[in-house]
Amino acid sequence: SECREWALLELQGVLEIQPSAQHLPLNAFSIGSLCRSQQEKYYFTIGYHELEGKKVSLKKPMLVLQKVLREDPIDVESSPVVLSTQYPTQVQKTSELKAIGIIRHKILFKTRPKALISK
Amino acid sequence: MTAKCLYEGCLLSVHDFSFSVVIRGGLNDEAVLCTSSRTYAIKFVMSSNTILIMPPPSSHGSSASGEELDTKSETGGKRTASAMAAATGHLELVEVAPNFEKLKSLLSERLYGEDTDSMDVEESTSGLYTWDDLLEKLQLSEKELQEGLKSLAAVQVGGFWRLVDKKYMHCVFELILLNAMQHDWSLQGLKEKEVVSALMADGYSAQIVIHCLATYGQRVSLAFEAGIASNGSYDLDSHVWELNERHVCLHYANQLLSSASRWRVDDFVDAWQQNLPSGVQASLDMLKGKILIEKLGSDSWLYPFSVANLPSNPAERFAALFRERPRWEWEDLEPYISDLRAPGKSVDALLLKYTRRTQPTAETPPIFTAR
Repeated sequence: SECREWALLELQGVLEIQPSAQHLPLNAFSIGSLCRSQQEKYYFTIGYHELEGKKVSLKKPMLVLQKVLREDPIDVESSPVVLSTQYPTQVQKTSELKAIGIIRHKILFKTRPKALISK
Repeated sequence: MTAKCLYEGCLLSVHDFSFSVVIRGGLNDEAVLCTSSRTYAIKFVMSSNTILIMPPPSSHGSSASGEELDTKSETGGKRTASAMAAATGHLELVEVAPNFEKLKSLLSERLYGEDTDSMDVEESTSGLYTWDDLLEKLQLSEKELQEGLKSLAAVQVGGFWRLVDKKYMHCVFELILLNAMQHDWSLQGLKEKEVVSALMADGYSAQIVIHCLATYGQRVSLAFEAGIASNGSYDLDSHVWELNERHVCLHYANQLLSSASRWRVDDFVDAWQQNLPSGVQASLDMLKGKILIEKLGSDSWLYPFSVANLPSNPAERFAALFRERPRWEWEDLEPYISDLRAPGKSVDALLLKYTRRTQPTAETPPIFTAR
């Protein structure tokens, strides 16, 4: 099956990418280190901050959908439409969506980050 | 980055997906998400948190979830999981019932009738819809569209889905039955070739005749003798049809009801049985959902009241039913609500919502009234 389980990390706050690197895809960055302790606690270290979180089961699992790109040129007027995440009420040209992953749990970080003192 | 939408749904729906979905809607519609069999309204839920999603490692073949990282890795190195995307929110889905009334009204723009049949080629294609046109305009899943077309007895002609004019269909059916009686054909074994040629002689197209046979009956497997020609080869043209007894009875019942809208039940049953081809047995049960019977004194009278003419929306349906009769017994009510669709709600839930149930004594049947 092509729909394997993905992981989800939820952080309060925003990851800021430096202006010089904003053109790069997200997976080009080393964001931080994630560890799991023996007590089922998760620690996420970003820069000199450490976040503590825990794994939570999602009440309703989520599917990760990916647009199936069409090769032929699309006629905007007659083509079917898709919801854009940035402008939900507007419609843009589209094609099908394929489920490429399922998410059943998330690691939720909602405590205040701890500042680590560098050695 | 491509994977930006997250969808929230229940576990059952995940298996229903077959992992390919489509979002449908015109510029003025609210977008819906369609799987192969269901349709969902979409709500975009924004999140102020940062959501990172990560696919499982593909080459390692180890754990399915990519977040199993351990500081004490045995090889001494760190395992990495790549975040594919940062999502701004997710889509919540709410299942919606298919809107077949819109399908009916689209297909009714250009009904296929007597005039259409005699034309060789239709000139303009405005008001005509293909399968793809219908999927987009109606925002339905494929299975739902299939169901809708079947329930309307629509037929595909020249790539377009058409609704045949009811009177015309009855006309063609009547002719088939008359020919059967004339030529002494069995209604359980009508030979397509014979039926089509008989009706084509009267100006009806083969398509419509076959559509009529398919609507009121079904193909049967060929009787061995009927299929084999003298040289032993299989004659593929010898399709044989069996007419559905209920449809035959309904056809004659409708004729009686159009000639007089109120009948004393006994008179109706007599006239009905008389008009039927030999061997066909009618019963009042066949008319459930099409007629209502009321007692006036010592007589029982029936009159037409068809579920097909009632609204499909549950609230409106119950309102219409209680306008007709303030009190209903379950036996009478059931055929008028069994087709109602409300996602996630059973018939009992609908009854609870729209009716009040009373039962005077344990022996008498329960009565339903408006809430």
